[in-house]
Amino acid sequence: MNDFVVSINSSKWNVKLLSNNELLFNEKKYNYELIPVCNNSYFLKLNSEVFELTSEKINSDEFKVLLKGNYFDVTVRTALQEKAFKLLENSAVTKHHHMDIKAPMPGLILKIRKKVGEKVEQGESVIILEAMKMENDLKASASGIIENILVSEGSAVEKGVILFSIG
Amino acid sequence: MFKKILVANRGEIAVRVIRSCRELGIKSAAIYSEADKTSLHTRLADESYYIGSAPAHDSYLNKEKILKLALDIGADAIHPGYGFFAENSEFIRECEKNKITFIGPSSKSVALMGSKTEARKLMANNKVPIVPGTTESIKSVNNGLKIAQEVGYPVLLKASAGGGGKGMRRINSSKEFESAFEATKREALKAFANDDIYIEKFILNPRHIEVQIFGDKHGNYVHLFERECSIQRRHQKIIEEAPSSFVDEITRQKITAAAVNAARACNYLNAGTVEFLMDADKKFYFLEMNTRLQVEHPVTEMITGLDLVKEQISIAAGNKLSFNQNDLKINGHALECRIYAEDSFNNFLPSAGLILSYSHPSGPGVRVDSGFDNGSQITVHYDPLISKLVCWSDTRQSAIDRMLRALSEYIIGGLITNISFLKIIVDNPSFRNGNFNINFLNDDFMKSINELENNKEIQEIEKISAIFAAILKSNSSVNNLRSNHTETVNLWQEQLYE
Repeated sequence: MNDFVVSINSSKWNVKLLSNNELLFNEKKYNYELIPVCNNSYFLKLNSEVFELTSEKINSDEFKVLLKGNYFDVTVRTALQEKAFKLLENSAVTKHHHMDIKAPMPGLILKIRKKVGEKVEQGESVIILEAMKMENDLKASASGIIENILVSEGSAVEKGVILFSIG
Repeated sequence: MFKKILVANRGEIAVRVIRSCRELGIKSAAIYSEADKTSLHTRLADESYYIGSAPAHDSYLNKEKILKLALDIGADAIHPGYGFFAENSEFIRECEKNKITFIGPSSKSVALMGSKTEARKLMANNKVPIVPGTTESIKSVNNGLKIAQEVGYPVLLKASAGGGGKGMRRINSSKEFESAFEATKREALKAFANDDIYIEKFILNPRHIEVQIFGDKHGNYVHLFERECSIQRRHQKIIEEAPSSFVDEITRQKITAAAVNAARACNYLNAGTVEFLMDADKKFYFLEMNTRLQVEHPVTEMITGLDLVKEQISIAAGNKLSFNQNDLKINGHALECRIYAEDSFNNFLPSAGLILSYSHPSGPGVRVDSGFDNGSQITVHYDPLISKLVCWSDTRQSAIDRMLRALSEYIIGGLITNISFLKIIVDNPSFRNGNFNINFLNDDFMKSINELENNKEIQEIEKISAIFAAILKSNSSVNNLRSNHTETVNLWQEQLYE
């Protein structure tokens, strides 16, 4: 129950919470204390060092964590959840890959560079979105085929709206 | 001296001006839009006036409303900050007509310098070296193609009315010309309501060196040495310093003399900046003149000990410059990092949202010019500049060490900022050695920092974040058992770029 696997970027770490404010991190023992400061701010004391962190919960497994100017997407699973996740992941490898690209901010669609059915490489520009007085290149986050384009040139979009999908 | 100054701006620069007004015993009046109800400038001014909804043309660019307000509240001067009306000659003319002092140059010099092509003509006639290219705007694609061929690729397409890196594009070959021509015109029209563009030779790997100048109503012109602003992304500066590590004493004498010449050539009044490109042989070319206070003015203040905003106000009131050229000396070294709400690792995409937690660095030699605070909103309507972090020390190396220390103290939660990116640049060996140019943040650099993910400090930070997240999850599952807590509203999720 208190045995966790934490994923950040491509790294995975094991954290085991023990009783008496002790924990095992990759088999090394630490004393810890978590002090909530206000809404999203915490002090974390690890042995003799104190860290100031900001966090926001996304769902029961995912958090955003800010520490020393570095901002991470963190996924925490119990050891049991991690096992189940790995099983699922292995069976999903052969499955069709599909990705929705959403508007990162409200803006105006200036130009659509690709057509449905066209091939795109990862990092290739697909849509130009004007926001904050700048033209922002929205790039394909994976290589594949444009399955769908849900907006047209000249239309205004809200944040989070799906713009196109790659399959 | 003035009795009340209306500050026609927002964010950190409005705060900066309000502070100098307070010290001079002049009343300050702020204006704010719907989006800036909780911004710092709204709270710090003696008086604050709601000016309109969030889009800039309804609020900070609403000329009629701002002028009427100035008259209604009895403001005898307007400080424009930078951006918005700072370089708008029409607005300045309206101020002049209404007998409100505009704290800045005359509408005539702004109009002259606002046209980059006119400015280039004037400089060339006054023996200030300019970048090879046109001094007239390009009328058609064919006309442009012909000129680009003569100048030689690569060339830059630039908006005649431009500035701040907007409306500017590099073209490597004739193939790229047409689409770049259209895009630059489009961007220029939107940003500056004027789609005149011109061509300049692309100088290979130059450094950006600029000189701060001042002129008063009594014919005195001075320079406040140079600043280097070579560290740029999307043609916008993110790290500036004074003095430049590249400029030696002889070059300094030449470039500052050229800048004073430029100021005299247009009878310049108040604070201005003459921007140059400098090649590897320390040859320099006039780029443009900015007829306003610059974002990066604090580094000059740190090495000269002057308050540029107070000097601006005093000159606008008709006083002589409070110092002579010979009074000025360079004292130590100062660096500025611009803290932006943007994702540096994702094509510098701006981010927006509520600032959930905010605390800024302090201590010896550290100055923070911030416009926001806990509970402030960074919106898509304006530039994503949150704050400027300025560090001073006796040498460049110790100023860099101080900057790294200060950047690590900064906490801005709730949106993505460029703080970790700034740390990587400042600690880069080439940056430390002064070995860089305006293309420092090129693709190779961006690739190399992705490999940095494995560096020791990042690993340590990841480790602590991992422990923290595990404790959070454990705590929240305990809480969920105890009560039927609904989950807190998630304010960060929406900012995710998936």
